Amino acid sequence: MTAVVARNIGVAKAVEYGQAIAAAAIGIGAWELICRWLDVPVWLLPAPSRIWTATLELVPVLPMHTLATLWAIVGGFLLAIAAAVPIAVAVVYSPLARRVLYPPLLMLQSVPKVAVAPLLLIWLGYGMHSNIVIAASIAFFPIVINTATGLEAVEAELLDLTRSFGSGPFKVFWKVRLPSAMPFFFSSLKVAITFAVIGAVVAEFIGGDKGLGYLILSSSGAMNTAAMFGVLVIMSVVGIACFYAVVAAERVLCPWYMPT
Amino acid sequence: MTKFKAGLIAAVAVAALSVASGKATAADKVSFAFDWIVNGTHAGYFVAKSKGYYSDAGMDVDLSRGFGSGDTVKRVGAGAAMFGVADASAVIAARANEDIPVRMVAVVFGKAPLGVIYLAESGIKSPKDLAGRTIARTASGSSVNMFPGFLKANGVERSTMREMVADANTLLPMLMSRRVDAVLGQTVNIGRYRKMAQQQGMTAMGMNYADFGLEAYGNALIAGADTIEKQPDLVKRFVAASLKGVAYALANPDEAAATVKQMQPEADLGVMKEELAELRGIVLTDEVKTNGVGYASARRMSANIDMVTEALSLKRKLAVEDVYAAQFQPEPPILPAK
Repeated sequence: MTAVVARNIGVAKAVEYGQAIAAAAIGIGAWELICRWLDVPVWLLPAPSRIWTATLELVPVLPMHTLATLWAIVGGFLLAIAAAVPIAVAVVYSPLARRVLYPPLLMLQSVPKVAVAPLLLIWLGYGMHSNIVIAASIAFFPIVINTATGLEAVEAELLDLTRSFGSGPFKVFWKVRLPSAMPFFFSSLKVAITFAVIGAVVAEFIGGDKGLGYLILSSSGAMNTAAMFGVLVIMSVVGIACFYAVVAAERVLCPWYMPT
Repeated sequence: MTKFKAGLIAAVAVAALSVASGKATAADKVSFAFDWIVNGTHAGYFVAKSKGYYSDAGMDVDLSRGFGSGDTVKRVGAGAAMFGVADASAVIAARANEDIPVRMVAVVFGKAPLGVIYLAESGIKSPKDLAGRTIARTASGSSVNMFPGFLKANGVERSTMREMVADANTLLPMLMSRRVDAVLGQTVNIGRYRKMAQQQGMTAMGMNYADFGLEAYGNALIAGADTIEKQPDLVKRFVAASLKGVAYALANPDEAAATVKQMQPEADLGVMKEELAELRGIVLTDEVKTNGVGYASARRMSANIDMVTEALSLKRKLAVEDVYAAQFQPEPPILPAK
């Protein structure tokens, strides 16, 4: 009986994936046909087949550049978490911290990073660590806000109850606040990882001779639009992979609220 | 679809306005995109607009900034702008690699203002001194494309140098903070570097590739293949009026800079004056002194194509006619004031 159910679920899953793949195939096919029928010039919108050939030419250099960008994304993402979580905790526990920290945080968030990134490059120097800091600076804000909201979103009765059982503040944090904040925390991580991807590429636009951002600039500078599109596709694949890595981490770390 | 709608609304609005104003506007609407943010090298076009050279030639010209020569080439190719300012090497690369339908219709910079900008304090005096130095450059662009040719002409080994790739806006601070010994860029914009260097008690210097064995053309006026084919008369009028403005700006730099400042208040007057002074040497080559502003010779253009083809390993080798339409030179030629 359970085997049948499992098989049915398996079939249902396969159908779902099949639908997604079919939709993508139809989209790409339509793109190709439109480019060919309307004779769209390659520099305006290259057809998928042109992108494919141009990307194949990049294959020898792609792994190095992709890895460089991946490092900046992962490094920036982890740095953002490391900086954001303590701030979120401080903001929840101390009204003073909230008053002092929020205005500069909002200021930082409102400043377009592209405008200050050239300066960051001068301040921090040139290299991977600058890229990580720039990626982190973009990824960090949603984590602070969401985590703080999550830590606060505990039912007051639950807090009173645990306290009435004589639990200390550390235990309340660990057993009540933290678990209830996890859905908020992870939903902010899903936003943050996509921001980290943007941040890493922005950093590579501003400085660096490695990474997918650099590859986009150099192919666009050499008037190779098809190759540029190819790099964009790879970038989005990296972004999607990172996103699902976060989703997988959530399933492993917080099984209690995840849908099966 | 929405674009179409917007176009329709705009057309209706324009029609309503011209009816309301009660006069038929015969002037050709012309959009003209620069290569980069407004600076002293564009002063001539502002002069042509404010002194009425364009309107006398029956044109209503709308000037707009650019985002790099490569982007301007695409805008003109796609018809988003009718004319543009773009570097010759960008046009050659665009024609060879992607067959973008544009041509140069006049060459404004008789020698490309591309080169190495450095601080006198670094001890650099000649191209040879670049060996073993750290330089900063952008990921792509004409100054980068022509760099290998410049090094080859001067016997400098590129592998001895350390190169940092950064955004164009970062090059100036990188040089001033002495993180690098030199940067590659447009020497015509050296005014910006001089100003910043002076504030720090240093001296910015430029080394033009053209003065060290690399004779390339620089910024040109470009037009789409469609415009060239269907409205040759308009192209001719546009070229003549634009070049007249350029010649005037070179002869009267202070007035020209003030004109730009008036129409574009955020531009820096002092820097623009320096750029215009620098521009004289770039526009007024020997070739131009005999043949007029805007002139380009087939021999040099062909050598230019060779240079770019090699530097960028372009997909195909072009003929001069593929990149440059020589039939729009003003008659009589606009000779610079003595």
